[in-house]
Amino acid sequence: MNIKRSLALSVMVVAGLSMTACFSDDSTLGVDKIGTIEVVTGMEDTSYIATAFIGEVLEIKPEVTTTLDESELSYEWTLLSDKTGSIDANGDTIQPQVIGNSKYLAYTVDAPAGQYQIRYAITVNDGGYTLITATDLSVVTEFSQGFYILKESADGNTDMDMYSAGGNLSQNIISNTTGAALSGKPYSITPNYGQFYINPDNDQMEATNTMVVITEDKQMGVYRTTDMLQIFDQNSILFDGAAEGEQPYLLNRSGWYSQYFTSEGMRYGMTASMGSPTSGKYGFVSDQVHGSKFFICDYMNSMGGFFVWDEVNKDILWANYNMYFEPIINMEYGEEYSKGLTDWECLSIGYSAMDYVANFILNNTKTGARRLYLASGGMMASSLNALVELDPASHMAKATAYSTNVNQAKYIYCVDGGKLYACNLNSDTYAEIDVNLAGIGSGEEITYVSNQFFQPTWDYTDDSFDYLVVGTQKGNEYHIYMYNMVGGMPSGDPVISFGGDGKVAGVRYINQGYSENDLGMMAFSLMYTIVD
Amino acid sequence: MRRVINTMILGGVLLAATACEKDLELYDIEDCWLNFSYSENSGSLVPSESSYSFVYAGSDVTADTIWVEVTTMGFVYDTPRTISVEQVQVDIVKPEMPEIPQDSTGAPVEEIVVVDTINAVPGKHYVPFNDKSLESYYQIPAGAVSQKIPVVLKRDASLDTCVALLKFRIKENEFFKVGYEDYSTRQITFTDMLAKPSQWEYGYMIYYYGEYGPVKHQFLIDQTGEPWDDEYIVALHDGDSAYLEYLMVKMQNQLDALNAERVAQGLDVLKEADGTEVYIGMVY
Repeated sequence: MNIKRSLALSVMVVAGLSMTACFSDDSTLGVDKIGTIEVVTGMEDTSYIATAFIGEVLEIKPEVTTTLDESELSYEWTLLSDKTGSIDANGDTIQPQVIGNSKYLAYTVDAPAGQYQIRYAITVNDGGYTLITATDLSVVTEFSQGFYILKESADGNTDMDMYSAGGNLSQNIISNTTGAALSGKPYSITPNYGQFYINPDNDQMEATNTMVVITEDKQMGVYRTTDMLQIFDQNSILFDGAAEGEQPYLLNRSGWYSQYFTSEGMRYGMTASMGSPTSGKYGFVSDQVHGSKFFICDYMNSMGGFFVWDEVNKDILWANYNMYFEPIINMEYGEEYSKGLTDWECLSIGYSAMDYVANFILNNTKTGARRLYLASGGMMASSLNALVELDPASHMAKATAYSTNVNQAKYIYCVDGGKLYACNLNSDTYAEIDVNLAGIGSGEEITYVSNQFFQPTWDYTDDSFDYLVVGTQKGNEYHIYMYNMVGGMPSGDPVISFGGDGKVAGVRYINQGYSENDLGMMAFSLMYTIVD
Repeated sequence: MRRVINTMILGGVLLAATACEKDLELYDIEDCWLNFSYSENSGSLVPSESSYSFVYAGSDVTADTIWVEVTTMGFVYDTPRTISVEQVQVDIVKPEMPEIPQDSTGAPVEEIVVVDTINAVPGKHYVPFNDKSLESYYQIPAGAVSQKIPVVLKRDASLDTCVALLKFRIKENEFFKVGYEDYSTRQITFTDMLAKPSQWEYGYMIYYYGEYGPVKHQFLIDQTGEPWDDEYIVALHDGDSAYLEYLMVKMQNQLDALNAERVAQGLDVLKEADGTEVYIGMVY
């Protein structure tokens, strides 16, 4: 019995030993003492913005605490873009760019405008380990972010100034970059986020942010806002070139489509968020809707549809998300009030994001009478909410400039006799309120008003603002004043103020970190409710 | 005793546990197989049925070569291995002659031509696969697992009025068995007339330009000066989609203008030989 038991136990022991024989522990972890490293400030707790190609040195001095001696550590700073890790045209993987090997970074910014991540790697020299922390860097150029000012030069042509994110004013950009201003008086200025084009730097079809300038003399310039390279004109934007006498009106986008309106009609393509990049050129006219600069997106009710004034047919039109056009009518006012208005001209269009109501102000070229149309969009149809014959004695009926407050109050601002007023759309009588402005220079006459804002739903750049913008004129010099607002009224002194020569005709903001792909159709379309 | 037996069983189980690693049997199958490759390194598909026209080759070209890739299955050998391919005769159903419209006198108002498709004749329409001149090409080189083999098409005068169909398959020999059934045949149709480009059925051609027709094909060539062959169609698809749409509308407009001219001259609108009206546009 004992022999058998011993035999069995022996078998078990051998079996157990045979199992343990499978493993061999040759690890050395835990033998050495590991020092600690911590980046306390300067990286993940902050972000940076820098201007490229002007010699600006980006300095980052993180606060690092460690139990190790300085001599035991080495450092590496790398710059990564959204293209890092992808394959370039030569088939090579795009590597992070090493921009420093010291404890503190001093980097002369020479990267193209865009959003970057800076990584800071601290390595224990004896092969212990590496600590990596990161922060965001927004690289701008003098042109890539800020306010563009459309203006009429002393000789009656069109040029542009630019007030940059860094607070610098660049003047006469078009003539300085192309050799001459665009001929003719200014007609419109529009930011166009995600404009497709063939990038001459690499011959690839890509999307970029542009500023589109159109004159009354049938000229158009489409400028890439990273460096003011003109990427299209009124001919090169079309596969077949412009028709004889073709007047460009508007190049921009609604929710789904990018449209090009001219006196020949509407051409369209897909937007960057809806399709892969193209050459950005347009083919044949698809609709005999001619449009004008009076165009606003109805981002909410019409799901990316829009309201537009047809400068050729003299129609007030609404389009749904799929560009089905129809006149704005109701039971009381039929098509004759919105189509073929040959005696009328459009002075203004606006939109309130408080109730998603669009407004048009029309002027009768024969009688001088003015009308206010208020209309709402929908998924499949629109409706005319009200048609108001403006009191001839009112400022609204005599104004020389208009703008609608989009986000804060149901006001239409108007300039009459060099003074600014706000028409309260909540009032049954459309009561008008004097708007008092601080800081206007002596002898300056108010000629321009606009509500400019940048309020994306997801603003990782922290660039949000909502300004009442006022332009004044004194001789051939303009001045721009931008005010913070409370309830649609200017608050305190202007937060931005600058001036140049020429007559101001429009102001538009562009943000280089903003992409329609980031923010989606609805938030994006709101940008295209800024019209003056 | 029971305890001892239980203990021994337990011990046996433990021993069995230690024996779970077992050497896999070595792959020792001597057979090798051969397949046509229907994809390229880029991942794009190679159609099993392709077409070719000498029209694009220039008038001085008397023969042209289409390269077809084959891949092996099984062991790699350090000596060359012969590839055998043979033609497959296809039962070709001759299309019915459509009814020809006649005028009041009974004379045909238009000519309708039905193009015959025939099985390619070795030596006449193509260089036979077992021709001595091709012997060195029909080999998997030592150490290789794939090879591109030439199919040499000949510009016979008969191709002016007919389409030759060459269907061929892998043939078993001392080195290779026939691989997967779906990957063992290829087919090339060729002619000296305009032929339907292989890429017409792929990508967006059907979507933008509708069903293929030789008259439509010639119209597109005349209007653009481009050959509208596989190479051009691929370049068109891979390029600017805005241009693709623009070109379609431009061709529609030019077809409308041509038809208007023809009607003004008392002619019928542009039609294919079988009477189908030429139409360019999106097919829904």
